[in-house]
Parts: sequence; C-alpha cells; structure tokens
Amino acid sequence: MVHGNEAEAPMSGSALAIRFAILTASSAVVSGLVHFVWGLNNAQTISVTVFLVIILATLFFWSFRLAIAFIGLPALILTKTLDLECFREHCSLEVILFLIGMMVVVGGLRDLGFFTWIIQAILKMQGMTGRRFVLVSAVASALSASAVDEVTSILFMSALIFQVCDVLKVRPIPFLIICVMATNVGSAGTMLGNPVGILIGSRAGLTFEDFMIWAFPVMLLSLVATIALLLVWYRKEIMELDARLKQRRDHALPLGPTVAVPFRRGLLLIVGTIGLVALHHRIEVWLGLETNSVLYMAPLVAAGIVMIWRRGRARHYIEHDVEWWTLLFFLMLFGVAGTLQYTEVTTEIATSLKNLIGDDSVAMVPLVMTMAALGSAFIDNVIFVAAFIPVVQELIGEVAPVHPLWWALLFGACFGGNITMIGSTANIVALGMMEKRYRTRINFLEWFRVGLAAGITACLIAWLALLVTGPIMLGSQG
Amino acid sequence: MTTENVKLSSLFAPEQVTCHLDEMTCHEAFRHLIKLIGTGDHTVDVEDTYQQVLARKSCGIAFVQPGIAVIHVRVKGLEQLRMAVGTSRKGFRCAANVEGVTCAADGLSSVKLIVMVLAPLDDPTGYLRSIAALTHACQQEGFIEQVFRQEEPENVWETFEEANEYLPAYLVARDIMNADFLCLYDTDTLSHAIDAFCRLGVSELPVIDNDGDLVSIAAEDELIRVCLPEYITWMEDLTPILNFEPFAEILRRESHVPLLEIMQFSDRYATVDEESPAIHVAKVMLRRDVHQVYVTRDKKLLGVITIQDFIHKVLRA
Repeated sequence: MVHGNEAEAPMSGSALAIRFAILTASSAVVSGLVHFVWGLNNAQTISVTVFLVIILATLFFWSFRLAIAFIGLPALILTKTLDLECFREHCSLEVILFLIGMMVVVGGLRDLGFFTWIIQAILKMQGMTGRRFVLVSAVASALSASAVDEVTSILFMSALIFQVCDVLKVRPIPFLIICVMATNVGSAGTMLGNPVGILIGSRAGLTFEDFMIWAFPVMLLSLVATIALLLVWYRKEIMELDARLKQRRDHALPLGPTVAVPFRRGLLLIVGTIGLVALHHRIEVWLGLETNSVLYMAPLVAAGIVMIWRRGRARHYIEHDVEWWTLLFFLMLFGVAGTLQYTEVTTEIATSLKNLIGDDSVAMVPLVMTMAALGSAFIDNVIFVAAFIPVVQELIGEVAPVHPLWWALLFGACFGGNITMIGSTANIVALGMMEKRYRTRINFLEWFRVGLAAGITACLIAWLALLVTGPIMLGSQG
Repeated sequence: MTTENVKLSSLFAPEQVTCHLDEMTCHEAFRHLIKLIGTGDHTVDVEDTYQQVLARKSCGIAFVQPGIAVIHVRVKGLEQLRMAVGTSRKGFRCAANVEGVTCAADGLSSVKLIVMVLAPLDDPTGYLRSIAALTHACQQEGFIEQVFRQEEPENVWETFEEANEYLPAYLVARDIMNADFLCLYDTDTLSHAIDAFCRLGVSELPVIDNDGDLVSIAAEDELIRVCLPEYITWMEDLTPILNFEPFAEILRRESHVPLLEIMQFSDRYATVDEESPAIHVAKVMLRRDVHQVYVTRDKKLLGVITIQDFIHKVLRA
C-alpha cells in the first residue's frame, strides 16, 4: 500500500544542525507561549510540546519520524502526561488492523494482475486523444483511490503515465500532477481512500454508507471541478500530447504491449472486499453486532482468504506489502494525539474556537475545512486529523455521528493535500518515483501555483455542498 | 612531472632523432629509439623498456595521422617526458617477416615517422598531452611533408622547433575521445537499433540527425522496457507471458516503429563540450552515473568517451 522510498538524501552536518536548532527553538517558544500566555498546565504543556516535536520531525527529519515518535510516547508516559490505559484507548488498533488487511488485499490484487488489467484497458482504448487521456486517467485515479487507497492508486497510475509519456516522449510532470490531484480528491470518497477517512469514521462512528451518501457525491463534484481546472491549466501540454497521440494513431501503433491477463480472480477479490465493507452496517444490524465491527474485520477476512488462496506468497504479503513503518508511526501518533484529549488541550482549543465563532457548529464548517486544508498542506494529514478529531467532538457535542464538521475535516484534510508537493503521501510517493526514473525534481512553486488553485477549488465546492447538505444531515437527526 | 609551457621540441634533442631507419624492422626501430633516449637520460633501462613495449597489445602503437605512429611506455624513475623520433622513406618492415616471430606491431609498412614517448610512471596525462601537441603540429600545413623531406636529424628537430607547438596545460575532452564511433540516425527504425545492438554488443548508441547533431541516445535497457513494461511485470503469475508474448508486438512492428520509442530523455545521458577539461568528463561520469559521455561542438557529435577509455588512456596507456 504505502511503498514510498524511505531513503532520504544525506543531509550535511550544518543543515542537520540548523533544522535541529529550528525544531528545538520552535518547540521551546511554543511550550513557553502555551504555558505562560495561554495558561496551560504542566501536563498540557508537555503534551503540546511532544506533539509539536513529532510534527516538526516529520517536516524536517522525515526518515527519523518513527524514531522520534518512539521516544515521544515514553516521554509522555514517564512524565505521567499519559497513562497506558489512555494510550490503549486512543491508539486506534482497529484502524491499524483495517489498514493491514487492505494492504494484504492490495498485494494480492497486484499479484493477480488486477492493476495490469486496468492499465491495459486504458492503453487499449480506441481513439485516445490528449483530453480523453487526461479525463480517463484522472477519473481512474480518483475511483481507484476510493476503492483501494490513495498510495496504491498513484503507484499504478504513475506507471500508466510513465508508460504513455515514455512512448510519446512528452514531459510526464503535468500528467503526473493531474493524476496525483485526482487521487487526493478521490481519496475523500470512501472510508478506504485515505487513512484519514477510516480514522474519522472510526472516531465519529460513521458507516461506509454514510460516506457513500455524504462524501462520495461531493467528491465527484469536486473531482469534476478539479479536472476542469487542470484541463485549462495544462492545455498546452495536453495539446502536445494530443498531437503525439494522433501521430501514433495514424501509424496504428499501440501505446504499449498488452497480454491476456486472467483478471477475473482479482476482480472477484476487490468486488468481494468492497462489497463486504459496503454492507458492513447492514450486516452489523442484522447480526446485532457492535457498530463498525464488520467494517474493521472485512479487510482481515479478505486478507486471510488471499493468504490461503496464495499460500506461497502469504509471508511476502505480510513482510513486504504491509507498510509496518507507517503503521507503527500511526499507532504511536494516535496515542500521542490522544494525550491532547486526555490532558484536555483539545477542550481548550474547542472553547477558543467557540469563543471566536459562537456555538453554531455549522458556521464552523469553513473554519475547520480551512484549518484542515492548511494543516494538511504542510504536515501529514493523519497527524492533523488525529489531533483535531477530539476538537470536533467537543464542538459537536453529544449528537448523532453524521455532522457537517466531520465532512469538513475529511474534505479539508484530503483536498488540502493538493496544495503542496508534501501535502499527502500520494504526492511524495509519485514525486519520488518520478525523481528516481527521470532524475528530475519538480519545483516547489510549480506545484504550489496549481495546487493552491486546485485545493481552493475543491474546498469551495465541498463547502457549498455542505451548505446545502448540512441542514439536511442535522434535520434528519431531528 | 611535466607542467605548463613545455614546448614539444624540448622533449628531445637532435641526438634523439634518426633519419632513414629503412633497413630496420619495427622492433629494431623501437629498441633503437629507446636507446637514443637512454643516451640522454641514464635513468632509462633500455632493455627493460623495450620489453615493456613488446609486452603491450600491438606494442601500444597509436596513429595520430596516416603515416605517423606513436609508441608510448611509462618508465619507473623517469623524471620528465622524453621523446625520440625516427623517419623512414619506405616504411618499417614487420618483425615477423624477418625474425620469424609473431609481430603485434603490424600496419607499420606505410609509417614514415615513428615517435617514441617515455613518460614518468606517475604522470597520468603527459603522454596524452604530448600526443595532443604532436597532433596539432601535424595539422599545421606542410609540417608532415617537411619532416619526411629532412635528411639530417638537426633539420628534423628544427622542423619541430619551428612548429612552435606546446604541450597543452591540461587535457580536454577532445584529446581523449574516440572519434571513430558508431551511431544511429533519427530516421532509423527499431529494427535498425535491434540489429545494431545484436551486431555490436554495445548497450547504447548515439542517435544523430542528417547534420550530425546529437539528437538522443538509443539504449538497450529502454528496448527491454518497451518490450516488457513495468505494469506487466507486476503479475506474480507469469503464465500469460511465458512465451514472451509482449515481445510479439515489437517483432510485428519493429520495421515501422520509429527509433524515438527507445530514445532516452536528455537528462538520461551526458554530453560535454570538446573544450571541457578531461577531468570534468570524469566528474560528469561519476555525478551522472553514466558509463559514457558524448563530446559535442555546439550540438554536433564529435566523439565518445567511455569509462574504459579513461582507464585505458589515463591509467594504462
């Protein structure tokens, strides 16, 4: 699932020292401010400081983030800022198990040629034009992100982009950016699209059906707007692609070799898994099970079947397809973020927001969405969402799970990932692949200009949609 | 070690020149020229140096111009570059024809000028810089004819002196490139490239246009990638491709698939200007992680420098 290259360019001693100094100074200044100015107590100050250190570590020392999380968690427990019981409560083990199951399923799908089949289907399309290629690849990226996850989606869609651009000898960057942005938008469509989705669903008690009703249509609208923007933004590059595609068509040359892939087994696996996930709520009601218990167990059942079916590869799936590094980081992170709730820092934040905006939680939609978008643009969106979920819980209070603020948090976190090149794991993975293959880097501003436009467009659409659907959500709950 | 402002004629004296070596075999000529250097520099062990010449592949002969051969040996203990010159009206006889031995120094029958260069063991570029200066001298109008015409050693030396050629301060890309390279044309098809790869056993070939400008390179690994793209290799079950099915498409269309298909983007290969210092070429090879560098003047392809060229010319030649 997350197959990003962890290798980081070796940093010079002075660069390392400067970054460490910034990290230490920022943490000291913030801890001083929250303690003396905001008036937080010692436990609250420690939890904010450790959380900030982890955030800055992911920014400055990407490859050390897990090591820092490993040290941060004991620091909280040894200073009595967090106890083990609270850690167990907040580490969202069910989310981690869900992600493990999906990673194994994705490994199985790859082995069974399912992704090969999808790419070949696009390559074999008749009468392919530049605009049609962009539309097909963007929609495929978004839908596959919704169906599996954003990183898997971008991994195999990047292979499609590289193949077509290599054959036609056009610059792949614009088409890669289009796919990455469509992937980020598509990842908000279901609980499967992004760890953020399953985390919000888990904490808010949302079901897959809730996502299909309240998130998927908004995702589609935002996708249409994003693709339209990108079609205009990259019109020159698309015209060039169009001309090259025409030359290719005129000579009756294919975009790549294709082989007969026995895709039915992979299709059965993905349809079965998504079907089980999609029906989880009805099964739970029917069997009288705890909310979301089938949701979390469905990928594990599918993964178990894959490991029995392809028993020779079972160990490979667990050892290589499960991204333990990222999952352990999430586990630690959820625990550390839980400290903010445990020490009531999140209550303080919620109170401040209420003082600023008032008690009308719907009026907070644009604020939460903007904060989530900006937060996700510069730090890992999972970190931001993990910390912000308790704040939203405080803002909403004890009401039914479906609330506009949850969707504002989801859309902000997913769409905000488009703003910068480090905004989401999909961006980092895609750019890493491109750098490795073409030995070229994308300019931060080249991404930022189009990313900001795409992020704002998608967030505006989502906000407008929530303005319409928000009252319906709240009204349906009486 | 030889440094800057060294005149070519200062590497030898009239005493290190012999005219009319016509009666000697090539091996005898080599030994004779080494002996001439040995008379002026006692650090040279004539017999040992001669054995080194014989031990080298084709006696280490390099042809700087038609009719002009340079033989080079690195000598332990030698402090500076030394040169000896021999001329012949008829060309040199092959040793095999006379002594009944295997002679590796073939192709000397048309050679009218032999230049023996002895270089200090720890001077990586002295020999190549002397060849560069000799090549420049030979390019001067009438220089070669005048050398061939001379009857006396003093006059030969004076011709070199009047040529007023200095050893370059450092080697440039042009000095170490291989100007005799094989290439493909941008109008060729995949079929031409596959034939060339199979016939020549090379991993990449430059692609030029009708003006001789470097367009790109065609690479073997790109050819394999075209036949077997990444998305097909994802499958664990190889049953659908056990008989190389993806390659069938290439076989069917290779004669009309343009070479463009396997050309690399410009960031995948390295070019240097002909005037770039040779050490810059080594840096480019390491930084860009490439095994060969293309030498150009503006866009025109002049030659190719491979890692093997470097190792051979700088460390062993």
